[in-house]
Amino acid sequence: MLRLHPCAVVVLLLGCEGYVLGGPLRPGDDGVGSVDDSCETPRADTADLEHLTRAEYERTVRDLLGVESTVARGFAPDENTDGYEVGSRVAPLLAEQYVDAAESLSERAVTENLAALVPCDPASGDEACARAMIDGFGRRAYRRSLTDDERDRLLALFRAGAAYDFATGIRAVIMGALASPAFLYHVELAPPDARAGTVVPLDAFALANRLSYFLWGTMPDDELLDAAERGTLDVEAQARRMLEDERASDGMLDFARQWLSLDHLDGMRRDATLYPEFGEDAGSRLRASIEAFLQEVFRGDSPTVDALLLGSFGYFDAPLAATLGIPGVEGEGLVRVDLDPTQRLGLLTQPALLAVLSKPNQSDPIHRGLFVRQRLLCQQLPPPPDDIAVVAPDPAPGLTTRERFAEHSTNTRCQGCHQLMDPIGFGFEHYDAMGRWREDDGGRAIDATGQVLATVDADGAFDGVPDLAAQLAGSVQVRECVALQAYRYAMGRTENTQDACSVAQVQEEFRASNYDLRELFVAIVRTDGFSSMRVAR
Amino acid sequence: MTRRASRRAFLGAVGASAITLPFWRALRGEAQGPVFPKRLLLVFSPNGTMPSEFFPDGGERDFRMRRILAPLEAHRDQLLILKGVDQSISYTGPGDGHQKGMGCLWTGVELLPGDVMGGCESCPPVSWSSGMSVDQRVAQEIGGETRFRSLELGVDVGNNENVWTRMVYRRPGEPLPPEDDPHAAFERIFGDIGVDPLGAERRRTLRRSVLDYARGDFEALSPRLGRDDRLKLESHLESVREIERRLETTPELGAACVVPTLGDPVDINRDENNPAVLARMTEMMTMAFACDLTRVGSIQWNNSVGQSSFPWLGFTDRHHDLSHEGDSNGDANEKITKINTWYAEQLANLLTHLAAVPEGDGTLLDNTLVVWGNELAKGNSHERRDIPFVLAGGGAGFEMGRYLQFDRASHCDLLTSILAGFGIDERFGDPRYSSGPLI
Repeated sequence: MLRLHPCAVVVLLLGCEGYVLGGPLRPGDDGVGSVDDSCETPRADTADLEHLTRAEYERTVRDLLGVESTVARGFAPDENTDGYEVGSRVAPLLAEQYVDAAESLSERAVTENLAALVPCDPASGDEACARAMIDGFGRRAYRRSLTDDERDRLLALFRAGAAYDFATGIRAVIMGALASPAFLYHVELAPPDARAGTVVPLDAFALANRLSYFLWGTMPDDELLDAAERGTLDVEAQARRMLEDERASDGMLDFARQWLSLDHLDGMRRDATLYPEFGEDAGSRLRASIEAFLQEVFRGDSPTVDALLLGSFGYFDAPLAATLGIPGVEGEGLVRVDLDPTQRLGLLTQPALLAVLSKPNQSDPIHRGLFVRQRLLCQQLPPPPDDIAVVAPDPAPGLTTRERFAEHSTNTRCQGCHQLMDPIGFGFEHYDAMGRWREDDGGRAIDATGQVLATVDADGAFDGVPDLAAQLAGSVQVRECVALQAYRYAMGRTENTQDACSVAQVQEEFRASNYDLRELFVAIVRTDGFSSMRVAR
Repeated sequence: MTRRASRRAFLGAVGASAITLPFWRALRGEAQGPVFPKRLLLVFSPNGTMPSEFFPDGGERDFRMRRILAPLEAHRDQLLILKGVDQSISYTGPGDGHQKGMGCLWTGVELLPGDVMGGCESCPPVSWSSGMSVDQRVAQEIGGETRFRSLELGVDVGNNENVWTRMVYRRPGEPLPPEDDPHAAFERIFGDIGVDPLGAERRRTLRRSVLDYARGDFEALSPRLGRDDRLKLESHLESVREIERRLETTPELGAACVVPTLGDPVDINRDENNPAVLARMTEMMTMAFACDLTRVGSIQWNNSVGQSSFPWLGFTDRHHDLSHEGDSNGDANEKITKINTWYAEQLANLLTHLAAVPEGDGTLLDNTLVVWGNELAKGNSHERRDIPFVLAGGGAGFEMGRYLQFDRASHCDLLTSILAGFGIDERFGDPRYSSGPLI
């Protein structure tokens, strides 16, 4: 590997103070720095108590209760660490929303799905049936075996509800479980006698839970829970099984959604005067389009970084194809289309991503360049100076985008950092604010030449995004950044010094697999960072 | 208006159907004249103002409104307009201008370092404010008796949690998200007032048993956690206990309590609906005060770096984009002025609502302090000196009807004055920038 991590390189070059070529690893939660650079003893960070994110909650109640519900979308939003959602704390509003959701979801579950939730005929449901239900349902809701005390208290809860009728008793059990921290949080406990600061393996249920939420974005299935209960959980074998399952698409798309900020597509609007073709539902069509592209890459025979960055195809439905001027799409639903590789090559030319990286009325070279820096090269750029007037110039007749942003290259306070973004972003000028290909910019010919500077191995001039994509696909820094993004998603946080050995191991195995994305997910679950925890004080 | 008259007004407005009898017992204050509670309400709008059109001409008493505050003229006797109050503290510590402006506005202290994404892909990672916000400090003193210790409402506040979208903090590092869906807010605040008593009783019984059960799980888990996680879980448990407490108490509804009507559902993700959402939030906050369901509130209009558009004003530009146009762009200046004038109209409407609720010989506005603030003074420079603060109402006992001009005052001192107005004698915010009450 290219030793970007942990060998951090902070560069004060080119007058862009604060620019970080490869991120310095921050100290771990306990403030432990790089005490032991050898990787012989397991290293891992503390496992902070985190609640289910909204996306996790929605899929979990679907799988647990058999109820499709969007209630979690109205929850107070999750915190976001380096682009990835994480359930950091339960504010009073969220605490109320959890209780309200437990109330409404339990009611729906017994109204719509009672027969599937109890192991008996509900019409003749009795306490024995409730006991059996508590055992099975309780294990799935808490994602571990219940204690005797929990069984007894859930039975008491059943009796309180059963004073009305059997269904209300079952409803009380469900509502109680959904209101419990054992359901709401990813609980990862150290053994009672473990000393603070030591690294211990996660218990089998916690590990099954991590696997499941990482690879599927939802709760473990019975096979995982059984393996955990028997003490026979083989992490790698389970991961390979899980990656073959349909639910792996949910997990992979959830990673991509956060990595690529695809939520910006929800309800996306464009300037109606400039882009009248961009209808109310264009954003959701774009979302479906890029998800289909990503699925084919991920589930294909060769799910590599090359396939991601260089695949010249897309999926479009007829209305979206009409909006984007893509010929040959008819009928219902998404159609796979081979695209002209001189115009559309890989992820960076997917219309959905280009629309995300645009303003409502114009292309956005700054954020397109910044995206490449932050999300593909894992480089951090500083914000504009605090006291500078930052003005996005209006589209001006007669001027190209490049000309309108000329101040960035002439103003000495701007140019230091903007030379790292703008010359990349200008290379995207063939794509407008909807992600549609264009031959000219307000009547003037497009100059799509660009320049990548200050990377480890992706520097050089290019002409157009297909050219840039090839340049980036050949870069080890880019491939290692993809791995790092997936690691951040898996851990719900930025890597730190405690992750150095795990990250190095992931990079090594990812390289050995020829940068296969499914193997990347396997490599991540094989690390100590994933399967162990440092005992918190 | 007399107390009897106000009770009749209540009956007339609600009619016999909506509220069931048990709640009537709650009407208070029979013998001596009633003492009305004091309330605090923070209001926020983002991205700075147009200072040249915001600050009045003239002196302390004979001030003359310019365009932005003109809609508040009718309430001038209830206003305290401030100039020369700086967010001095927001020039220190981690974060960019918007992050610090937002995180320091009501807390008066620096942000914490961290890796919480700062609201946008290009923002520096930071963490949350290192302090409690002034409303929550007041709520500690006066919020305990009511159903909600405090109530946070918002309009178009963004569907993500970061330093730009949060302004009030229960504790250091613990921002409070505002409820931005009027229907959810209505359910939460007024949902069990006037419902079918039998159904309500079953619901309450079930909730009581369930929360009792969940509390057992909290208490079993807590001792097995490390210190930080235990604090996190206990904070959650505190909220659960709060829900339990509400189940056990029937609120003593204020005499002028009228459950507002909500109207048709609105899609809160469409900017053109913001005026309707905002109006509903205004009504609900007013009635939450009037009903004495809470005494401390905040209404957050949009968020720092907010990109609301204002099609009803005749243009569709996004607010933050506009706020970054250069000083020479007359068109953008005009639009920024119109946006801030529109927000001033909404404040005026809020004050009108508060003033329409009778309390003894006065009104709810006489017993409420409203504070309107902004994370910036000016958008295109991220200027945080001369923050456009407007105070309104009699809740803190300030002498109103004045325009006060200070020379580089620290806004921590304004926050200290707010505390003093609620009987809390302590300096608020970073001690380096906090010297004592400003007003």
